[in-house]
Amino acid sequence: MRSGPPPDERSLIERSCKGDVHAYDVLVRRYERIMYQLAVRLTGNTDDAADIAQEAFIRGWNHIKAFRREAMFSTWMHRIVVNVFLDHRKKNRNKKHISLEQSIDANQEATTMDIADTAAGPEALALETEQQRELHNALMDLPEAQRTLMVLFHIQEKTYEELVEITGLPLGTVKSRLNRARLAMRDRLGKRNSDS
Amino acid sequence: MDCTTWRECASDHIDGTLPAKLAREADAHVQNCIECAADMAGIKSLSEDLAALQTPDVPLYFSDNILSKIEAQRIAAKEPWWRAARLGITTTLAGATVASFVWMQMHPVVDAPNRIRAGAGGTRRAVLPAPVVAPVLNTRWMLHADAARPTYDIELMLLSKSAGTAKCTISGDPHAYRFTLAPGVANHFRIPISLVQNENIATVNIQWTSGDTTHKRTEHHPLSPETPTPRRQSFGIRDLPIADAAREVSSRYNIPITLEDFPETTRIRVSPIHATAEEALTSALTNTGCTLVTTPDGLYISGK
Repeated sequence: MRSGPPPDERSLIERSCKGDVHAYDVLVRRYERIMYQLAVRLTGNTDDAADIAQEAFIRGWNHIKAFRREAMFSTWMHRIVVNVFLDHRKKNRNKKHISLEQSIDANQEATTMDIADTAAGPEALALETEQQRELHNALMDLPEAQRTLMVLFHIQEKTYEELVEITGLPLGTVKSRLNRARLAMRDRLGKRNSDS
Repeated sequence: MDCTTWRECASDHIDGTLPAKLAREADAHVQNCIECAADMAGIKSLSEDLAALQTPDVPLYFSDNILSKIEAQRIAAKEPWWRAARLGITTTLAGATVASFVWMQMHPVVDAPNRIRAGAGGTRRAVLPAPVVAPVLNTRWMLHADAARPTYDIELMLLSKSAGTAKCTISGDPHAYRFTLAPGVANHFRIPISLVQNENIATVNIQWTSGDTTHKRTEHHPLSPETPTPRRQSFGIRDLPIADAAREVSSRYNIPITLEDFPETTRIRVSPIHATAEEALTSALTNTGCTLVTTPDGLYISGK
């Protein structure tokens, strides 16, 4: 059972609702790292990630009055970051080219194509080992919906309940998409490992 | 259970959320199927591997940028007419500057030996608009701090119907420089300056006259404007004359501050707590009769 934000955070949210930008600043500083990291893993590059995380916090400020008091602020912000990310992808879709390695997952309810990102690649993330690069590439190869669930579940360590809250999807859909995402990553990593 | 069925329930099997009967079937399948056993081990290690992915640190001034965007948004929502007016003034001044530059190119002044063309080889520049009605003195400074003999290239543009005069003094320089200003055109001058050691600010005092009015202006220019400083700071400055306090703020935040026609003897205390320069000075200037305006090129304090 959710009890909402801790008392000090509740106070900061109340003050933010009343227009206290300094209170919101404390919230931003508290969650900037988590939200930026989420954005980095979703976008795969630091430039887009900074833009998305900043826009998410600004969107959070603009809609703070709509925040439900019984929810967790961090969960709410996660949802905003994911939405901003998906909005950006929609906007930029026409500016990007389709990867030659695109794959269409026949098991998807909605067919999704991978879109190759022409922005800064994994090298911008200073990935140290070959294994990390492969893992990053496999994650970026996933369709956005699956990648989002993988990042939230495995990197941000969110529970299924939180995934439902963040994505707005039914639990069954979350579980089936996550299952497909895990298998897809495993297949890609396994294939690469056997190729090398 | 076959491989297809196991793959459909792989996550539940790994997470331990399968019903007991199905879980036993899945266990038995994995024990007998090398491929599914490898997949299971691979998926189990995904969590650990993904968590170990390194993520870069949050960019410098990340939260400061968010806050400044929110503040800009709030200002825009509150004062759209003022912003529009400022844009109009800036556009007008830019147009006037371009026009005067073209005029100067066509009609070079040869009878004033101390006048030079500004711009070539400049290393620092400060543009300080004067968002008030005419007569207005618009100044543009280009500091050559790295040269063997540091100089300031100055452009003084008097937006007025009649000619005027200006007297400039610069911190660290005992001399006073006097100029005659033609109205509506850019007047260019070069002044040698003596930079004070360990100072990161140059202060220029200008007393200028146009028609029957005299104005006083103090400009604090950072010598290294590109050096980053925290946008929000906490400190305390004891009671100081406004110009000195502004110089201290200019130095700490590394931003240009211009003061015009301000009460020179009035003292203020600046003691911001996690505040921007604008916030610190706005609070300190309460009850002094001065107003503070944020321009794209720094802060502007006016006593009128």
